Amino acid sequence: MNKMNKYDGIHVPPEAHQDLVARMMTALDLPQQGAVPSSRSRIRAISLWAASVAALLAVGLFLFSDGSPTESEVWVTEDLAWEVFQAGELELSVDEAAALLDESELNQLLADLTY
Amino acid sequence: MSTHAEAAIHEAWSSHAYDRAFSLMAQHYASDFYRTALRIVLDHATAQDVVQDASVKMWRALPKFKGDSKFSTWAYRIVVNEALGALRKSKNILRSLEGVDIGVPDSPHFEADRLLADLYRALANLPERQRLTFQLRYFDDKPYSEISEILGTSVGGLKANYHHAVERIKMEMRELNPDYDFESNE
Repeated sequence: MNKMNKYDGIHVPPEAHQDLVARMMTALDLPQQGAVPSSRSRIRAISLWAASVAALLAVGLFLFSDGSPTESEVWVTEDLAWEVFQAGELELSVDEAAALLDESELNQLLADLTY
Repeated sequence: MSTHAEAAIHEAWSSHAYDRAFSLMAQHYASDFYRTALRIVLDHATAQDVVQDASVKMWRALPKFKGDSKFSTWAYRIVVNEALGALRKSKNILRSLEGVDIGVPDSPHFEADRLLADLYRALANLPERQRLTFQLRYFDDKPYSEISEILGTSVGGLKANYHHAVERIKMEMRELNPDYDFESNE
């Protein structure tokens, strides 16, 4: 009986090796993580746009008020607007977003949404 | 895997030449991946599929590789996990087939004498962790530190696994080959 050694009995000849390499290389036809934005990063980009809109709203409220809060008014800050947006309590219609953005900004927003 | 190849892959990866890094990895590792996969799934076509499916995961994850281990270690981990997944899917099918020699690789690239075939049969009776530890340690000569990264098990646990695996294999091999002197041929 032969002496047992560490050889596992598996020998891949050169042509079979090249076939395995070719199989591995087919993976390159697929997109990489990080190369194409994931759905999570797209949502994050959209959220940042929406947060910007919320901040614009807050600034607008401040500019068109008399500058000092009264007891009946809510003092809206950017932080508060962001918290409200994150809590899902702020929604903007397309018309409202359009009213707050100029044409180029609106086009950019639409491009981001449809990316 | 040579240090030179590992350095070349790392150089390509660090310059974001992922396709080159991947290509180098395929050229240097493809056969080793296949051998590792075949020893786990024991079937040629399934092992080929494992290599291909693992490659897709490697390619997709390559930009996110943290560089905190060797590429070979990282890649082996993916291959082993892919092979274990394939094994779990195919186990019931293989065991229901008549004429299948359980434990012995079914591949045109596998050739073994009776003793080696018996070793594979003995391995098939081991718990999964012991079998994997033994294969990576005995066949691939991998250090415990690297096996620890591949299998996600502590070095102490691996040493215990290997010890138990060797003892059980010796016992089974002695039963199968009473005329063989294992003590002088270890």
